Order: sequence, then structure tokens, then C-alpha cells
Amino acid sequence: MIKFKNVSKFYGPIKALDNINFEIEAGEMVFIVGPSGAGKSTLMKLLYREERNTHGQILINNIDVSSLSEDKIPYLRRRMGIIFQDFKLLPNKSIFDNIAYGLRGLGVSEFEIQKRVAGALNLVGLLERAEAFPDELSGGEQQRVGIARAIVQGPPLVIADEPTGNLDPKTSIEIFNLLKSVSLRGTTVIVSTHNHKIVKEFKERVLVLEDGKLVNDTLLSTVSNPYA
Amino acid sequence: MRSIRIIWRILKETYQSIKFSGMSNFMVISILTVTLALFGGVLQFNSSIKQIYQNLDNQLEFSIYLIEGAETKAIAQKISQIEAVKKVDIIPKDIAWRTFRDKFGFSEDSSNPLPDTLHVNVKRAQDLNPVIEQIKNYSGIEQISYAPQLFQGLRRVRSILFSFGLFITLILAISTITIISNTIQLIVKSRSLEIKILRLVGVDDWYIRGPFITHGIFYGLVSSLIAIIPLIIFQNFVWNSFQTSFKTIMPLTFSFDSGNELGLIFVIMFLTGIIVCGTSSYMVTNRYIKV
Repeated sequence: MIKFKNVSKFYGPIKALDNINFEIEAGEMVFIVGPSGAGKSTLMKLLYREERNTHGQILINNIDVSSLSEDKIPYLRRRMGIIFQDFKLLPNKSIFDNIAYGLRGLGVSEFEIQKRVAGALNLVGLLERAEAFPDELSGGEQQRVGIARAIVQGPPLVIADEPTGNLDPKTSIEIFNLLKSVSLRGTTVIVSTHNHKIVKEFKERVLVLEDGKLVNDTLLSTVSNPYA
Repeated sequence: MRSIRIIWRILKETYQSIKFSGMSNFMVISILTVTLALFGGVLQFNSSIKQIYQNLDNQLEFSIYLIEGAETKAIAQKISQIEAVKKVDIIPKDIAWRTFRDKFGFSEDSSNPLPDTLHVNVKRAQDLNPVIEQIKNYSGIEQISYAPQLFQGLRRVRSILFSFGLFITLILAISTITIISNTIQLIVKSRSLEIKILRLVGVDDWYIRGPFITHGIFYGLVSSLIAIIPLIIFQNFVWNSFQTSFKTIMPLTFSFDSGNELGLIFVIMFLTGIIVCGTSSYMVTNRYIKV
């Protein structure tokens, strides 16, 4: 489903990613781990074309994301859900409206929105809190809203950039479990995190980044590493 | 159906954006209204002066007093052959004297001091001076009487006021565009999170920019409608009373009516407001909203 071929990304003279190569199959759950500044967020941003790679090719379903014209980018993003560390919820909108907001922009009917949002909230266990506002929820609950928003369109790919960065370990495990359940429904889930202790417990594929280089991929290597 | 839903939602977002702007709306609309009213005023003034000018054009006449014994008919014929001359009337000295005598009560015995006179009409105001320059060297001409100051003065006033008005309008327009751009920019920045979410969900670019552009168009629409009011008042009260007063002191039958162009001026103001505001907003969104 996803192929990185010799991908590099420069910010001026600084090399954020250096010749990255890997493939992810549909339905896989993959953790991307590494210390701060390793290039995790840059790699995620390349996937949803927030950033553009300097060299190489990024293929999602055989479409070269890096050479996609700007007017095609919205179509790419409609096929993925994105989860952020800081949740990015609109404080003046209810939980329901936060999730419905993007769907309204896509021209989905109100009836369909009701159905889809209720389904997504049900999956993350927040159906009862649909009318609450973000500041009435805990950090974990807010991130669950973020997950509901990411999956509400039923995308084949979910990208979670440090989704537990602002959460305590117990809540982080809950969030990873939730992402695991999303993956079990057939969705490809890519999660970046520096929380390697929790990652160990999940027994999933791990890509290790250090100084912009892919130093280990548990799918290909049997060499032990500090994260997997 | 989807397009209608999206348009409806863009209008709802526009309403939210307007509501969010609060007092900024009042400020932008006030300044824009003054600018558009001034712009409309300049157009209206120009239209009215043009109307007066056209009326004067129809009565562009000057008189030529011939010397005693001059070949009146030959001179009249020579003048009428000039391209810019519309008409030449010969007023024989006897007829001129009779008219003068009747008007001022001279006795019939008085000797006639008046020469033969030619009344010459030119086709356009700008023809007046060249024709007079050409004729004044003809033999048999004693004096040429005309009122160039009125035409030249009117032309100068029109030119100065039009240029000045446009200059002020331009300055105000630049200020207005700056204020509109800043207002829209502030709204874009304050809604950056919403914009980001919409972008990452894959919402079309025009849906994201749409509410900001329609917000700008709203400014143009409201301001042009308000700006039309002072122009209507000016046209119906101030200008019409000036016209009445002016008619009583002018021997010529002027028509000041610029009403036939007022509709066109309103349309120009309306479109200018909408296009300028919409374009400014579009440029701001282009600069601050990236895909």
C-alpha cells in the first residue's frame, strides 16, 4: 500500500530524512519510533503532503504522492485520517460538530453525517458525550475524539503523529489499543511515538529512525534494538 | 445536491465570519462607503458637467461685426465653408438696428451706428478658438465677440475637480483595500485551526477560501448600497435646487439632468465595490491559506 523509495528530505542544509526505504502492506499497524528530532514527524508529513520530499518517491496505492499536483492533494487526504499530538479540536464546537466539521466541508448530507459521527463516537466510546465541548473532556477523551474524527470517513489509512505525546502511560495504552482495534478492522495504521516502552507491549512492526536514517525495521531485521 | 449543500454551508460560514469580525465590520464598511460615495460623486459630477458641456456645445455661437462696406455675403459664404462651422446667419445692419431701437426705445430718426453682423455657430466647443483664430484675419472684419472664458473655465474646473476627485478616491481606495486585507487576514489567522482541519480532511480549496471571499464581497455589497443613498440625496435636492438657481441667471436654456447616467453610476459603484473587495479577500486567502 505504501512504498518509500530512497526518500530524503532537506530543510536547507539540514537533512531531516536520509534515503529512507520501506514498504507497508494494507491493514498493517506500524510504529515509527525514535528520539525527538529523528525525523518521525517529517516522515508523517510527507505521507499527507504537508511537506514534500526532496528526493525519492513516496507511493500510496501506486500514486506518487511527491509529484501530486496541489489540486489533487485534497483527494489524497480524503483517503486518510490524521491524528495529532495536540488533538486539534475546535474549542467552540461540540464533540459532534468537531467530527462533523470536515464532513460538512465535503458536502456530506446531514442525515449521513449523523449516522457516520454516531458510528465513530460509538467506536471510541464517547457517544454519550456528543454534545460536550472539548474543554469538558480529559486529555485521553479528547484524543479519542481525534481518533473518531480521523476514522469518520472510513479511510483505508490512518496516520497518528505522536498521539500519546500529551498523555499519561495508562491513557496512552488505551489510545494505542483503540488504534489497534481500528487496524483490526482492516485499516492501515501508522503511529509515530517516542514512547518505546509501550510500543514493546504491542508486538507490532516497528521502524526505528535516528538522525533521519531508518536504522531498523523489525519486519526485516532480527537484530535487537532499543525499541522493539 | 452536494453543490447546493456546499454553497449553503459556505454562506453559513460567511455569516459566522462576519459575526466574528464584530466592530471591524463597522469600520471597514464605513470607510468603504465613504470611498465609494466619493467615487460615485466624482462620476456623477463628471456626468453633470459633461451634460452642461453638451448643452453649451449646441449653442456655441459668436458674433462677427463687419466694417462699413464689407462684402457681407461673400464673407458669410467663406466662413460657412470652414469644416468646423455649423451655421452662419447674416444679420443686416437695418434689422439689427430696428431690433436694438425697439428694445431700448431710440427714435426712428437716429442714425444707424451698427454694422452688418454675422452669427456663427461651430460644431463643438473645441472648434471655437481655432475657427475664431482663422476668421479674425479675414478682411472686412471689425470685431469678433464671444465668451471664451465660460467654456475654458468650465473645461478647467471639470478637469481639475475630476482629477482631484479621482486622486482622493484612489488614496481612499488604497486605504480601504489595506483595511479589508488586514481584516480578512486577521480572520484567516484566528481561524487557522479550522482551516488546517479542513485542509487535512481533504476539503476542496474553494470551500476553504469561499467564506473569506464572500465576506469581502459582503463588504462591497453593503457599502455600495449605503454609498448610493447620499448620491440620490445630492441628485434630488442639492443638484436640482442648484440647477433651478443657475437657470434663472443664465440666458441659455441649460439642462443639468444627469439622471439618465445615475443608474449606470450606481451599477459601476456596485460592481467596483464587489470586485475590489472580492479580489482583495481572494489575494489574502491566496497568500495565507496554503494547500
